[in-house]
Amino acid sequence: MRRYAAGFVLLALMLAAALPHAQETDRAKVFYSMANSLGMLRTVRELDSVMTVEVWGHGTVRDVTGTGAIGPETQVKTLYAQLAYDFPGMRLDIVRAAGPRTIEVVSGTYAWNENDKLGGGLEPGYGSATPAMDQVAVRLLRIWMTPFGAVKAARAAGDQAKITVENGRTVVTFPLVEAPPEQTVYMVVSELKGTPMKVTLDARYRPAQVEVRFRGRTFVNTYSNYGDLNESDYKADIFVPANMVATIDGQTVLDLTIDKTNTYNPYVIMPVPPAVQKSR
Amino acid sequence: MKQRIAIGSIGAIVAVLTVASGEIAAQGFGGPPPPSAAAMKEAASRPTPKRPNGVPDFTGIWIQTRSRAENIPALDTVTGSYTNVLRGRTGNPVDFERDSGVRERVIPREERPWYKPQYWERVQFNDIHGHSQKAPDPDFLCMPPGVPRIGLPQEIVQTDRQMIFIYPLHLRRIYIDGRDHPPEEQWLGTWLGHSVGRWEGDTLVVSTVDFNGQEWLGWPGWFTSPDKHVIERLRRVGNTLTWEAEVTDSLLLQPWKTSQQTRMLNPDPMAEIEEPLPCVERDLQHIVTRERG
Repeated sequence: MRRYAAGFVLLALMLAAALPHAQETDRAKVFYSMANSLGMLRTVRELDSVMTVEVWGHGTVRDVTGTGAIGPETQVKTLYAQLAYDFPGMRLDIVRAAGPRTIEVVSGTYAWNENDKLGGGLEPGYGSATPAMDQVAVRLLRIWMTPFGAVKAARAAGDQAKITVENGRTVVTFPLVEAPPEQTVYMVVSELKGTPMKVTLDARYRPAQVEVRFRGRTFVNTYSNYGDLNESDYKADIFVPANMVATIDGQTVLDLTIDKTNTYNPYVIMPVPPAVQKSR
Repeated sequence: MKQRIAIGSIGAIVAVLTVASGEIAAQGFGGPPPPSAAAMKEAASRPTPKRPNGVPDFTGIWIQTRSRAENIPALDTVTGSYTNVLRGRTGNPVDFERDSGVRERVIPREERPWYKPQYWERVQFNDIHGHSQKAPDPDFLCMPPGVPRIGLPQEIVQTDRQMIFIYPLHLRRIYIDGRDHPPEEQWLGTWLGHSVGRWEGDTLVVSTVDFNGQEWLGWPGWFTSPDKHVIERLRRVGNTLTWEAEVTDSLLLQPWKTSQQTRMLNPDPMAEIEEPLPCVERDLQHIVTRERG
């Protein structure tokens, strides 16, 4: 019996040594573990290779009006998002069970809404685009609050990032900074420059919660149930959360279940429509 | 049960290696290493040979070749295996395929062709299904790669009336005798198009039209239309040859430019190009994954 107990203790010690430690405070090791645990580092050179991602999901949403008021909860029939960290950009296409379809885009320092069609307004006669330049900062924030975005933003902050341990979890706190373009990331932060971001990691160093206070409001994204959500014959070993909850000042504005992703750096471009370029 | 798993695993690895073999070939596997920067610089400093009519002479072999007596090394000189050649994170072929698939799609937005929005979904579909029956990459089916995907020729033979661009399995005729393209009603719809060239100083400017619209610009699903028009620019400086191309197509929001490529003349007067193996597609029906890179 004693022999079994000793064996069990030995096994537990071996497992503990094999698993990453959730209380690591060495900055470089934490950055590495964050990127590696999401499958971002590829080839023997371990290069950050996540540049673009597509996401499909469903859930509920509360629309935030131009004045910042939060509207009633609506069922999301389909949500389709394109993310690009290299220019950077995000297109968020939400079809509600009841209510309008909205397509919100940010690309670099331009923001606009597309009417009816993805890419509307790029070509005469193919949809239209309405400038939404006052939304640039908030939409860029969505990009940098995604798990991949938070990892890239933390690394860009470099030695300005502080690593602490709270309730047994590693926490990375850093200001959002501008940085020159790299192959798979271009840190464009606009008005967000200097805004502190707090990333709480789970036991495997994946972002479990990302918190930002901006324009007097608290934005919190919570992520759980990470997995490779690409289709079964298209796995990439890149891990995204199956569940995401976004709150503003404690009120849930998006409760999303991710059904599917394409993490093979899909074709995503977001040229700025001429009408939007002129609006600056 | 173990046997079934083992057979399944072997099948998966064979499938992955089969897909990967094109990649190995594309990397010039088994060929001599590319010339160094110093060698390229030295080659560029040589005088540029001219033909009697005063234009640069592009004739020559523009790849490095192996002599007949030279042994082709094993896949990996130490282990003789593929394992270390497939540069995945772990040497595992599955990791290689996934790493390669992710990594090779790291193409900056400015270097991607900008399709009109109504075609974005088709590009994405082609990309995902490029090694499946749904939208196979024509190159994977052993079809000619089209222009400009075919890139720089391995060898050029030049006369005063035409230039012959020789590729591993294809050749193109570039008419430089002042003729124009045939009128559109006489177009045939071909893989490599109809090409005419003219000189702008020492630069050969090649215009190519008359495509069939089946060829892709690149493996990540970049399809084309029959009205594609390609302008290639080739310039010989000493013993180097530089090439770049620009594509206009009604599918695109704006012209797409390839990256510039430079090759060095093969200095061996006895150099020969080996006959390439024929391309025979035998994999498509057996591929069990859409992962590719």
